Amino acid sequence: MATFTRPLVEPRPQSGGASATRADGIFRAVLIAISAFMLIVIAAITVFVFYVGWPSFSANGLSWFGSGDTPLDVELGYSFLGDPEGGRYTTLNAWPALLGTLLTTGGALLLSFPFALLAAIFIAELAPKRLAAFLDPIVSVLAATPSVIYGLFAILVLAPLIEQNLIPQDKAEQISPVVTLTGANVLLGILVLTLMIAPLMIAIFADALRAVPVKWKEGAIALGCDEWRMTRRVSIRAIRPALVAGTTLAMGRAVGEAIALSMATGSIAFIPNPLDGYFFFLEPVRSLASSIVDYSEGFESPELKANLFAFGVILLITTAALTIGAKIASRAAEKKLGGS
Amino acid sequence: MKKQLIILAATMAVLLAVTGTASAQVTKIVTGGSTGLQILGSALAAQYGKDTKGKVRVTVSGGGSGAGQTGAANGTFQIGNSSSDKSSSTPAGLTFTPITKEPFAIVVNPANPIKGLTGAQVKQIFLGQVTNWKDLGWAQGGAIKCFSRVATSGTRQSFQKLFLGSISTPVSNSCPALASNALDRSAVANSKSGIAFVTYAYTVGSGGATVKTLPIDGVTPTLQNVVSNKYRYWNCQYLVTKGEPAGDVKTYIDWVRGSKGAAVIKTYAVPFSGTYDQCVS
Repeated sequence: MATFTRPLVEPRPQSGGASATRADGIFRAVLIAISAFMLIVIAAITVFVFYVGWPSFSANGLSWFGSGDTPLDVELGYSFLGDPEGGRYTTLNAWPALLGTLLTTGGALLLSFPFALLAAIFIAELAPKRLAAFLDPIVSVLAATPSVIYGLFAILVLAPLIEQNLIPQDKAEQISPVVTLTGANVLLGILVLTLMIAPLMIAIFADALRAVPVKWKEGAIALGCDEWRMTRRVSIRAIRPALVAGTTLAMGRAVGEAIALSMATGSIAFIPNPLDGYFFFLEPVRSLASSIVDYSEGFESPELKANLFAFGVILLITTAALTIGAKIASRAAEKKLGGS
Repeated sequence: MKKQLIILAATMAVLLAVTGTASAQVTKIVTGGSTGLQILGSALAAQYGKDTKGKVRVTVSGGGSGAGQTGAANGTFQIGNSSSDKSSSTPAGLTFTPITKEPFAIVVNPANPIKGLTGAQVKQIFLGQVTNWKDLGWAQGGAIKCFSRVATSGTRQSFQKLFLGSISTPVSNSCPALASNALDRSAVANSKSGIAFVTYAYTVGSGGATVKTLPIDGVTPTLQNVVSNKYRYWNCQYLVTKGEPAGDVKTYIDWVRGSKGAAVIKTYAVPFSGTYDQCVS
């Protein structure tokens, strides 16, 4: 490895003198102004979302987070059109939407993490160079594909397959008075999110694996580790900060995904029944983010608007907590790595 | 460098002057709202532009019936397009001028052998009171897969008014509430035991051929059957203004409701120049 004896960046020749310093000053001021402006915009968005969504929380208190006797879709409908007597309607029990987000995001993370880690190890460590050079751009393209494409793939290709192969007619008949079972359900939501976030995780994990210093790996091999043990004990440990960061980034994308989930999860804010066995995963849900898109046509009703912005508040808090949590966790992992 | 800048500035100034004088001569009418009215609205706007020899330019944008009503109230649109009647969310002080009658249709999968349904049966299906095709005469049909629209949809509100008895009687919560007419239609096309409600425009053309349109009470939903008053499941589409229409806006609305507007409308829906009360009674 080459060692650098001179600085990477040549100092600029000081021909301009005072005028160069002034240019630097102006440049710095412009950059500070731009960053400050970004911060103000973010703060303004946060304040606005909280302000508009607040009436929904204040009208319902803690029961906002619970599940009520009236289905969530009916409550959202009433908050748009008024209750059956024509009065305003402010009740909201958002548990079905919270559960929809939890189930789809959680399921997708459980499914995609091991898959992404193994795929990244293959691409970064085991695959022949040519194959890796072929797979790399594919992973990048998949990671950057717009979610609506995955949504279309889910509803046009996967949904009919699930409907024809996994849902027996007698069970569908038995459940039909409660809920219509179609190919779009929790399972399809998890699958479509997995398809979306796995490439993102693979790309981040593989980059991190490639950055693990070669001498660490060589050291492990020299000590008698086989390749698998070296990967497990050295590489995976070394990239723990990247594992945390990649997973969090993927989780952020999954939590906020609206369009693809709106198409894939069955369009009913239903609470799947764990007593239904594996049919639990074949029942529909509607996540927070997809509720916002699905009902966004009704913003002219102040009650519905407050409810949808309240969903936005939860999403804002979740993603902010994820980002901050990931920073802390990956810093802790780095520290541990540096110390040991 | 300086020379180039001067040339650039001069070109811009000339361009500005040209477009400036052009827009001074053209009257602009900004309309928008219902996505169901977007295609028809654009066709009307184009024809009106020709009839006035380009002196009036009508622009059309989407956003949904609700956005059309709010836009008319707060001045974003001089004319808001709405496919739904007044509701409790409709801002005060708006005038709804009907321009069409638009039929609503019940569609099923082409594999469905049912020849037709009664209005009462449609109501039972979408209220969740009948959930199996065997109760409607199709022994092997299995569970009925009903597809609905989200509560904010103008199509759903009109369906609830026409078939369920009131604009605020909700469709059964066991029916998936999809985000557009097109998604409902493709859900039925993909599901042998599916059933959904869509507007007439979604039952014609190559897309309309992917599903089977059912006669209701023995009458097929066609424009002809609406004109002759045989098919009674239709709803009006409106041009919405703040207060009574006046000036250029009134001239345009009168043109749409006259014979020249009707000639354009005929392809998409049934022209109607009656009153709001005739639409909702």
